[in-house]
Amino acid sequence: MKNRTKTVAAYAEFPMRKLIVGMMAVAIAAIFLTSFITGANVPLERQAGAKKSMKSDEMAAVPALMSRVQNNPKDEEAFLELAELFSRTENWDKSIFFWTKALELNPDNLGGHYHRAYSLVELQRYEEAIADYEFILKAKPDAYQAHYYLGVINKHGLKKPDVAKKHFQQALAANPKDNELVAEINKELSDMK
Amino acid sequence: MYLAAHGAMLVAMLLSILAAGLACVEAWTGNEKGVPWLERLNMSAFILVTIASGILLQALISRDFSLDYVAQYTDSTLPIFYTITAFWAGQAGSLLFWTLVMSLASVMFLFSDTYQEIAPRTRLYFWMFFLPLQAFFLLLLTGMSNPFVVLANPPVDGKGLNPLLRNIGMVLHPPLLFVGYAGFTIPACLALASTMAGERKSWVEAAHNWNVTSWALLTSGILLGGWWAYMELGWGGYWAWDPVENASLIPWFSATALLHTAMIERRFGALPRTNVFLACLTLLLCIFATYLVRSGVVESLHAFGEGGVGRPLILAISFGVAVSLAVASAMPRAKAASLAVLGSRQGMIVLLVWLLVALAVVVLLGTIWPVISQLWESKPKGVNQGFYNTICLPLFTGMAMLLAVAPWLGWRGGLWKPKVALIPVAAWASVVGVGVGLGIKPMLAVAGVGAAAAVLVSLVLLAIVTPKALRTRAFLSSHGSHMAFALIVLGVAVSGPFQTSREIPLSPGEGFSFGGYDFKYTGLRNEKSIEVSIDEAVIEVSKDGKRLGELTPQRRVYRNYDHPNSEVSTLFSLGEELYATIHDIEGERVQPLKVTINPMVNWVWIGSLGICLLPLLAWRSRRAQGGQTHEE
Repeated sequence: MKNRTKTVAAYAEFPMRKLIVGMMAVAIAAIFLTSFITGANVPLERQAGAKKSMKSDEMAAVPALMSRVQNNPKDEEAFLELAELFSRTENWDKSIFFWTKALELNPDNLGGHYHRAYSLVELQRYEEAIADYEFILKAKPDAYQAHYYLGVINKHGLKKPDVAKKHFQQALAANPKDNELVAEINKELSDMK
Repeated sequence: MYLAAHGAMLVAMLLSILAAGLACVEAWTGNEKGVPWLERLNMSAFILVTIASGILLQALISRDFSLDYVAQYTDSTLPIFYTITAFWAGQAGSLLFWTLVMSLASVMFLFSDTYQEIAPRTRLYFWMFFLPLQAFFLLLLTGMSNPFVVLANPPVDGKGLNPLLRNIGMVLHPPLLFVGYAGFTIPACLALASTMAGERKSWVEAAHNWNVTSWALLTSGILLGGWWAYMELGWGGYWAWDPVENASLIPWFSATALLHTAMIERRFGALPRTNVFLACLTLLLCIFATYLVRSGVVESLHAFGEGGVGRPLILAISFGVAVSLAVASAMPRAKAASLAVLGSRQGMIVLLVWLLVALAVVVLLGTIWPVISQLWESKPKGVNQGFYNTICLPLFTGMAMLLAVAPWLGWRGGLWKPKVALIPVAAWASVVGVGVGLGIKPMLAVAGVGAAAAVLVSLVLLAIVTPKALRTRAFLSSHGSHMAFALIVLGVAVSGPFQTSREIPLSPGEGFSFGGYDFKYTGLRNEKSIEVSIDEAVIEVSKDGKRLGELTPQRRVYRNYDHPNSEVSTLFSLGEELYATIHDIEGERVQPLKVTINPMVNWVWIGSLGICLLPLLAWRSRRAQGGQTHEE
């Protein structure tokens, strides 16, 4: 008990008390002022789908998936999950990296080619995206979605309306059952007239 | 309603700011009359935070997809259990949860006997430190990370919870971490307040139960995360030294150091400055863990989203470091009692603290290495697992050896049972000798097993030599926790390096032998619900013709998630646990089945259970807290 009393007695007049109290006061003032700045910038209403940043559960999944690919570089499933996560959060460079890794393990995954091509288009790397769509068409000639995307790239990206028109028509010729896509293709074609 | 919830958080923040400002004015003028007002204002803030939390919970339960947070983390088919736990699935919700727990902790402290016993001046300083922290969290919640953002065009259904997170381990892992983080707020603020106010009641005594409980919860959270990784990710391991894992481990090192150095101050009055610093450091490292996970600072490794909270968090941490250092450095130097020699139990604790500091520094440096190396690398890379294992595993083994030796040293030096004390050392030497004789490699694993054996032998001997102590809670909590730690060391030392696995594609009726076991794939079972489609491979396992059981690894496809998810299946054993996953299924053929033999892995979980629960026996009653003297 003696030691404790000695220790405590030494604290009675605390040096730098006013400095520390002053620091805390400055911190409180800073919080108060920042609340005005940030409060004004943050909307309380948002459009659905407008959120681009990675969600916390997705963030939690990334290290887990990274561990899986570090431990097993042939874990295609983990690469696909990573690729999809980064696609969903529009981190196109990373999504392309992981789609490519997954495709190296399973080159016949047509879904992977579709997704990678989509990411490539977002980065305006049209030639590489076209290579993916052509791969899909080689494997599955009636893949009308590939024709549709090739049409979109040629029309809007490469400004080649003739090539685009050909692809849109080929997409329609495959008799797609997706009514929304048919409407979209017809709209694209009518815009070109 | 959501506007009301946002308003509640906003008012809670303003009340916290107002109260903190009042506390500063009182502290500046040396007046303590306003303390009851601070308590009332804090209580009001707590009620408002609770109301906001209740509204979010209600939105989740009613699956109101007009709230962005609900739409992001739940869907109409998600079971109610996971729907409720989605509260902390996202950044904004988890920060609200942390704030709620922190606020609740302050109210619990307010109504505790300890609070009634401390001087009004200490109470005043406590609120001066606590309220700005609460206001800061509410600032994040009302600004950068608001859980009450409403969607202008709500979706018909939500996106649902990531399949990897639909596991009991991941359900409990985040809240336990957050409760642990929030719990350390009280000791840190109390340490600063007691130091500045010259409190007569020892703050380490007053904060003892808070420290122990928060430490146990943080430990539970970390270990549950490891168990989740083992049971859900399917790579057969439980710790990958990932930045997110490391983030929670760094404060654990300082918290563990604090638990031990606080004991020295309670008993001998030594290390007061160290304890104040460690209490503050632990809280700051908890906030730093949040910063690491949320800020995107480790983007070169894993592209975590920048939720806008990174910069405020790092500013808050920097400010906290400045205040902590200012208070700790302004403490009078010469008055504290001096430490005993290194060859004493006190000396061993100091050595343990240095080992923990070394571990914290290594893990911290490894985690932020991509950021540091940006200074000279154009494409910075993170360090690999080998870096951590090479440095940290020997340090952990050294820690285990300290636990074997320390109980036989007197608090002020000398061995109190010299002949008995040699037995644990002999046990360690015997295990290492046998390992070397049999040519077992790696040697570090042998040394780890030896250290674990030495701790177990040491504690058994201690129980024999001091049978009365065995009945005390203090013995069971401290030595029981050390035994649990030794079991973890044993499990890690064996299950890591001696794990074996085999991958093989199988059709129904086919089988293979591996590691002395026979595996036969008997067929595929299917189950479908609105939420998930499950394919389950049934693998019969036998050894020497005797049937041991079934492994049933699954492949699940959840609604809203295109890619299939593997579910692990294990065959429990205290010796060799069999662990199976399937990568893909084509028709009825599994492509491939991966079987891993994990020797002694369950001792990691048994030790984990012990290390999470046994420290709670160290809870001290008010009488024990008041009556303790340094030399007891």
